[in-house]
Formats: sequence, C-alpha cells, structure tokens
Amino acid sequence: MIRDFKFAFRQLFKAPGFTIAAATVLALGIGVNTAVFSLVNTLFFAPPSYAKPHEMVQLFSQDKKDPKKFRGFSYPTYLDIRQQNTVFSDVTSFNVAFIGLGQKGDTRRAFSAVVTSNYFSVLGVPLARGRAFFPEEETPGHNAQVAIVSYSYWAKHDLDPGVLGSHLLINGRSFTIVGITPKGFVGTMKILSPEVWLPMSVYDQVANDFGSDNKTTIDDRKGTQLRIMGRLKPGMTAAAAKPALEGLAANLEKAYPVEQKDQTFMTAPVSRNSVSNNPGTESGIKVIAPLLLGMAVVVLLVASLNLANMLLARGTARRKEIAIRLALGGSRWRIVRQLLTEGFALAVLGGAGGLVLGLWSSDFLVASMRRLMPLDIVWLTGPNPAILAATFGFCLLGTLMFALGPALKISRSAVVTDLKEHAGEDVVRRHWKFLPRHPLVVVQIAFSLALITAAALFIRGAGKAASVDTGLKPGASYILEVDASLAGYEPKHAQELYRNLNDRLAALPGVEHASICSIVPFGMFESTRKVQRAGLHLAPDARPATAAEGLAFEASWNSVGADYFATVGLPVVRGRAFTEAETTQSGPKVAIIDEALAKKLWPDDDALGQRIQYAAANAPSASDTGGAHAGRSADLNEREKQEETIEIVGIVPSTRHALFEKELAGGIYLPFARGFQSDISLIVRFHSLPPGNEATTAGLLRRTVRDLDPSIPILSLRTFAQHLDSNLDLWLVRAGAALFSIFGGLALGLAVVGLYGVKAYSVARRTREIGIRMALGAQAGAVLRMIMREGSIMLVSGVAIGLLLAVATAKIVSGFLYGVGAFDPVAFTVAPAVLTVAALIATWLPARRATRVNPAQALHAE
Amino acid sequence: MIGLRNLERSYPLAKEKFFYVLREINLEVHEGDFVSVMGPSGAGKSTLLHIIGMHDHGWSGEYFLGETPVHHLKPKERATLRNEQIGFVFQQYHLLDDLTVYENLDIPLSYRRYSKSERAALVADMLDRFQIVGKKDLYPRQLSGGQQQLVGVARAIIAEPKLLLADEPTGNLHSSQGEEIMELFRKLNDEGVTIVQVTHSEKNASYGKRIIQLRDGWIAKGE
Repeated sequence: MIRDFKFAFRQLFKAPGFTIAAATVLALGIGVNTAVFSLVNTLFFAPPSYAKPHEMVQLFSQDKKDPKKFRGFSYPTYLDIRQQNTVFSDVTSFNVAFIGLGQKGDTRRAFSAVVTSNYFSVLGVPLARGRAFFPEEETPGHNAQVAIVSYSYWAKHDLDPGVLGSHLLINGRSFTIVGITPKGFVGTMKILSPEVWLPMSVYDQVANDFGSDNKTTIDDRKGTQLRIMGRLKPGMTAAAAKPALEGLAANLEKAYPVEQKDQTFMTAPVSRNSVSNNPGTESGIKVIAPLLLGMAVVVLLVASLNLANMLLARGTARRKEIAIRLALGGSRWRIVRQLLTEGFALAVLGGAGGLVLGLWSSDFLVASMRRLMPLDIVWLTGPNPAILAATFGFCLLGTLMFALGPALKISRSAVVTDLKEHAGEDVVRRHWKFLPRHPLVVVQIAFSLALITAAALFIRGAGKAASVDTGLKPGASYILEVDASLAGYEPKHAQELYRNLNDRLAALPGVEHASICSIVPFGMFESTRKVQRAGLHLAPDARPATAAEGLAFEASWNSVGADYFATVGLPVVRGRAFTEAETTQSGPKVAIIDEALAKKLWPDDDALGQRIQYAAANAPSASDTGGAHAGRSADLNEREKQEETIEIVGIVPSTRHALFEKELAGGIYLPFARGFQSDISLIVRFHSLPPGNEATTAGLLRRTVRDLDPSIPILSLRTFAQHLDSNLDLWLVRAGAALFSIFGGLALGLAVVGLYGVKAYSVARRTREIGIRMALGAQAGAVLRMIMREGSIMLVSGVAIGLLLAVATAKIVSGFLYGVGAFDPVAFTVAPAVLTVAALIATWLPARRATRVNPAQALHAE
Repeated sequence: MIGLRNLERSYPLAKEKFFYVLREINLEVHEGDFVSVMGPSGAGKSTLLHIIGMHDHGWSGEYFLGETPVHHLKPKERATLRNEQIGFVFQQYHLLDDLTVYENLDIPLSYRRYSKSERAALVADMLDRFQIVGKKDLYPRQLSGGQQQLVGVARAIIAEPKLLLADEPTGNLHSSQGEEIMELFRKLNDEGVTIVQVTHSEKNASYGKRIIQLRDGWIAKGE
C-alpha cells in the first residue's frame, strides 16, 4: 500500500499541470462542502457549549385549548416550577435583551442575557475567571449592578486581567464585571452569543420596552417574559417527565386560576438558534440545512465528474502502461487499487486546498453577518475534529465518485491490442453513436444548469426584493436612532427631550419634515397588537367569525409624531393626522389605522370615527402566529387590553410593515405620547440631499443631538435608503443569491472547464484522425463543424436533462424565493443561455485548434 | 502533370541555420505516369509526397499541378485543388477506427460536393469493384492488414482523383497481400490514374514506369 502511495505521488509530480488542475477542481468542490458543513454543523450538530446537553430541555407553556399557542413564564412561576417539580435536578430561567454598552455619547448596542443565579451551574459551565451570580443578586428589587462578560468581550480588551472587577456602563448605569465566561461559550444559542450576562434582579432595568406604557414587572405573576430550561434528573427522559410536568401545570392552574388559565407544560430540546417561547420556530431553518448540503454535494459531484473525465482521458493515455502491468501479472483488482490510491492522493491534495478555502469562506460569511447585526457572532471557524473529519469524508466520497469509475474502466484492458495500439490513441469503438461521446460531461452540464437556474432564481428574487415597493415615499430622509434611557433619562424627561430634539431637527435648514416614531418600518424590530371593535364583551369560550362578532385582527403597531405621515410620504386619505398636543401629551385616546385594517374591522362600513380596543392575548383572531417578532413582545396589561377604547381619527393607505409581507396585515398608529418607548427613531426629511453632502448632513444631525445633550447615545444614523438596504430579510435574500451564485458559478466554471478539457484533450488525442480527415479532403470549416457538432450534442443533451433537474430544484427552493415563481421564465431562459454561450466558447477554442492540425505532421508523427 | 522547379524544404535550426530535407528538386511527372520514389530512411521521400499532396506548405520553389501554379495558391485554394485531383494511400492504412468500412469510404465524398444519393452509389460501386461488399459493416479492427489497405486504396480513389499518392502502401503487409495491392495499382494506372508511390521495395518499384532515387534530400537518380 505504501508503495502504491509512493507511486501515486510520483505519478502526480510527474504531471504537475494535471495535478494542479485536478487539485484545484477538487479544492473548489471540497471547499464549498467544508464551508457549508462548517455552518450546518455549527448550527445543528456541533455539541452545545454547555455540559451534558442530552440532559437539558427547554420548558414551554402551552395553551391547552389552542395547542399552537405558547407563551413565556413569569419569575414567580419559575420559582414555583423550580421548587415543586420532581423531574429536574435544577431549572434556570433567562431572557435576552438589547442593551446600550459603553460610555456616554459612545454607546453601542449589544446583546445580553438576563439570567437567574444558577444559570451557569445548571448549564455546567465553569467561568474562565471570577464568579457566577449570588442567589440574592437574582431577587427582584435587589438591583445587583454586576455583570459577567463573554470571552470575546475579554478578548476585545486584550485578555486584560484587570477587566475582572472593572466597571461597565450598561444603559447609562455602572455595572461591576464579576466573571468572564470560558472561550467558546455562547449561551444556549449557536453562533449568536450574548456579550454580557446580567442577574435577573436588573431585568426591569434592561428589558426592552415595546411601546406599552404599563409594563409587567419581573415579580408580577402575570408576566410572560422568561424562558425556562431544566436539567433532567439522571435516568429521567423527556417522555417520562411529561405526566409530572402536566400535573405540575394543573396544580399551578388551580393555585393561580387567572394567571395560569389553560396553561400546561411541555418540553423540547433547548433551541439552538433562537430564544423563542415557541418550540416550532426552528423548523424553517432546519429545512435550509439539507438544502445547502444538497447543493454543496452537487457541486462536489460536478467537480468529481470533471475529474473523472480528466482521469479517463489520462487513463487512455496510460493504456499501454496498464497493459504492461497486466502482462506482467498484475491482477485487475491490483490495478484498480493503484488507480484508486492515485485518486485518493489527489483528493488529499484537493482536500487540503478545500479546507483552507472552506475556512476562509466561513470567515468571510461571519464577517458579512457581523457587519449587519449588532450581535457578538461567535463562530469558531478554525479547523476542528468535526470539520477535519468531514473534509476527510469529502475526500473519500470524492475519490469514490471520480476515481472508481475510471479505475474500473481503464483496468478493463485488452493486453495484446493495447500493447500494439498507437500510444495514447483514442480508439474506443462506440456502438451507440447517437449518444454523446462523453456522458460524464453531459451529466456535469445537467447538474450545472440546475444550480445556475437556482442561482438565477435567487438573483432575480434579490433584485425584486431590492426594488420592492414599500408603500412609503420618504424622499431624501435620514433616520436617527437614539435612546435617552441609555443616558439615564427617565421616561418623562426622555419624552420632553425627544420633543425638543424633534423641534430642533425640524428647524434645521433644508428640512421639510421631521417626526419621531417608535418603530421604523423594515428595521430589525416590529411590534404587533391584536385589535377588535370596541364595546364587545365576549364570553370566555366565544368563537366569533366576523369583526362584528368580535373577531380580533393582529395589526402592525407604531407610535408616531404629529408630522410622521408627511415625513414618510403617506397621505391621510380620510380624517386627519395627529395633532401636536396628541403626540406630546396623554390626551384622548385616538388612533390612525390603515385601509387594510379598516377594511378588516368594518368591511361594509366606514371605520373613521369608530372605536376599537386591544383584544386579550387569547382572543380569537384572524391571524394567530403563535410567536413574537424579533425582540418585540405583544404583551399588554389587562387595562390596556380591555378598558381603553380608541377612536379612529384618520385612515392612511396600507403599506408593507415587513419587507417580505405577503399579505398586508394592516397597521395601527398611535400618538407617540400614548406609546412611549425610550429607544426611538427620528426621521428627518430634507427637501433634497445633493450627492456628496452626506457627511455634512450627517454631521449636522449629530451636532444637533450633541448640542441638546452630548450624553445621548446615537445608536445609528443613516439614510432611509441605507436603512432599507441593511434590512435583515433583504440580507437573507441577498445571502441566498450570493450563496447560490457561488454554487452556480462554480458549477458553471467546472462544467465549462470540463467541457473544454474534454474537447481539448480529445482534439489532442485525435490529431491523427483529424490529420487523416484533412488528408482525405476535410477543410478547416468541416473539422470545426465536426468538433462543434460533437460539443453541441453534449451541450443539448446536458441542457435537456439539466432543465428537468432545474425544474425539480426550483420546486425545492421555491419556498425561499422572493417575488419570483419557481418557473420564472427569465431565470429559465437566462440560465441555459449563459451555460450555452459559455459551453460553445469552451468547445470552439479546441475546435479552432483542431483546424490548425497539419496533416503532414500528424501522419508523419506515426 | 506535376512540375517541380527548384523545390526546397527546410526546417530552421538555431542561429539562422536551416536543416534541408529537400534540396533543389526538379521533377516532371506526366499524366498516366507511375513513379516510384525510393531512397534510404530520412532521404525526404515522404516529405516530397506530402508536398505534392499539398499537406505541407512550408516549401519554396515552384510546383505546377497540370497548368495550375500551386506555389501561387492560398492554402484554401490548394485544399480545393487537392480535393479535386489527389487521392492518398498510407502505409498505416489510416482508416478511422470507429467508422465502418462503408463509412470510411464515404468520408472523402462527404468532404466534396456529392449528394447523398451520389455518395451511396459511389460507395456501393467501390465496395463491389473491390469485392468487399460483405465487409461494409465491419470495423477496421475486424479486417486483416491486406483488407484494411484494400479499403485504404478504395477510399483513395473513390472521389476519382487524377493523381494517386501512396506512401509505402505495402509496408505493413505480407508479400502476397502486397502483390495484390501492387497489381491493383497497376490496374488503376492502366485505367489512366497517375501514381506516385514511395517505397523501399525494389519489387514494388518495378510495378512503376519510372524510379526516382532520393539521397539526403537531393534527387540522385531519375530526374
């Protein structure tokens, strides 16, 4: 075997051109697979960064009457579960929050986890430095100003030992760093890691407020803020724990019939990619994993086919050598083994290149994600045993795919004739002449077309997504995001500050309108509320079918300033806009709704002047989603839900509230004073923004904030166009397009290189035949046509099969496309056209060379 | 039919030096002639044949085929002239291995302006004339050397050339097969086809009417 390897490497070094070309092709195929495996492995398979993950489960609170509905837990409920359960050795509770991290005026947004004191011990994670939280630091009201920071935070501070015990400014308040998590610990999620862990006692300080003017505090049993995880007792399984947990839920419902009404408990594996209170939120991302892996394997297949062709061609040239080996007594198996060893040696070279390429691609992806999200992305992209093993596996798989077939074929040598035959002559007789000469190239072209079509579909989707009509016409606008609470402002003073800031911005030269809003459409956050017609008191088990009967509708929610609609270019089509007084003082309860919601609530009547109310969380509604959007909860207090009725004073056109909203959900706007939140945005609309003046304008806006109070952190400042451009959905679509473009581009490149290689090799090997043909009267045109015709047969066959594969691929990816059908005619025209043109060029180059064969030399060479 | 005047063929060596394969070749071949070119290996016999066959363009001097000054023709015009006038027989037969006997005979016609039905008729006629109808669907590998060369000759004359060039046509055949081919050549010559053959064999050369001896690129005898 060692001799086989020695000979294999000698063979490879003897033909450096072939070796480099083959290793490059393999490196591309294996590199893509390594990169995708690295991502998929990290997201789905790599063990979590805590101990004995098989014992850990997440607890969910489920509505018995509507099992699709889930909610979080209150802190008192967590304590009850911790004390009364019989199945867990311990439970811990947590939630995440965006915090303002840093000095006044230089604050950045960071991702934090607010946890109970036993969080690290339940997870079995010893801290790298310092200590975990003390039990008293979790008690509501204690307000323990202590924090544990992530290893990457520590690394950003050059692993300075002085970080421990130093102070950290969070939301304008000073916290002492008491611990540092170990390297690689990312909490319960993969990749997205909190940068700071805070004790539960500060939850109310740091929890993001979501527009509700009467939040539930952490010690309120009505709250649903928390997630719970538990470590099952040794020998206990999730299935065995089920009856006990249902019994516990029943006991709690008896003890707290209002707060725990209809709630039961269930477990599911701890979510790896979200902190949702719904166990079903990961199903979407789980579909992507096999899709990505499948596409990557197709690229490896195309690369392997390419290489198989190269090996077949090389094998033809080595026919005499094989014949000699056989003549000297070598068995066929021995020859196959030798050829497979050569293939594997090649795969190892390609695998090494692929590993480097794959890891580099992973780093690139992480960098791209980091630019977009204000989160600490911890993705250990370096080589680890799993990735090395996977790459080795891809090498073995590749070897089997590209080397086995040629080895079996080449080893089927006819000793006598091959020894006699002209060295390297391509004299294989073909009984099925109507079939293409090189079926592997046909398969390559077919798979490539499928990937190129998928890429075309995603690119079309990305193009459409980028030019989506939002329904807003914000013109030349800037969005300025600030959070006065991070500078220590209380809500009352913050509101006053925002009003002043709004006025100053509106008075700037060139400014047409300026308005505050709690939510900027198409940003990272959105908020929804269930609303219904006012004055309805439904029976607890009522099932209304229409708005008139009390059916509630989930609508996008925003609290805005008086000039908001003029600022974003949304005309008030009926009624009026908010007055200055309504948006700055808590006056009469008024709202403006959009036409979509108006139509839903009063399909046959005029909504203007009517009254609506917030519906209870469990009220029957037309669009129950069962989950909250990014960071925004729809929690409302009882008073807000039931007692307040709101008059509709205006109706505006419907707009999208999320970039990829398929059906307009409807929207409700409240005056900002009725929906205060500390993290707000000010949209500043200019008459015009001359190109090149961006820096000056941004400087002017920054100065305006600084003049008012230099301690106010500016969380972001960008134009509306830039805001849309950095939309997460858009990024996902673009990332999909980029990813599939890479797959498609690689496949196209490999197929074209494969076709070129086969034709070039074929022309070189057929010099004698071409020489004879020319000696017999074939002119250059005839030879060119002959080679082109052979290439075209391969191309047409490949495209025909490829279109069928493309249809199947399009069906599979259709769920991820935006704005284009699975059978988009443009994609299905452009992809084959691109492939055809590239393939024809790849055929034409060797065909042109064939026309330059000198028959005298070709025949003389005999 | 063929007139060569001061024809020379050389290959460049280092420092502006040349290696001459053919020197000052002056040769007249008349219509109906049967010329055997002989000489030791490396004398330039095959090169001369390929120049006459217009496969080699890197020569100097004058070459007339009939009244046509080949030396003034462009490569494309030469190819057209060759297709009209010349047929080739090779030592290694040079049949195309993945084509049947029938298809090999059809190739020269496919490169000329023959209709499909004309081609079929000519191929059938040739198969009949060479008595190889029964072998028309066989591949070259399935034929003996003599049979392959028979097909090679048939292929060379199927487009009715006036000039047949043969490069060691019996070099790979045993003596009885060789005689058969040479008899065939004599018959073709009797029918009016001009033949120029390259051969090492005195016996084969005796089938011709004239012998040209080449040595080191010069015509040593028979000019």
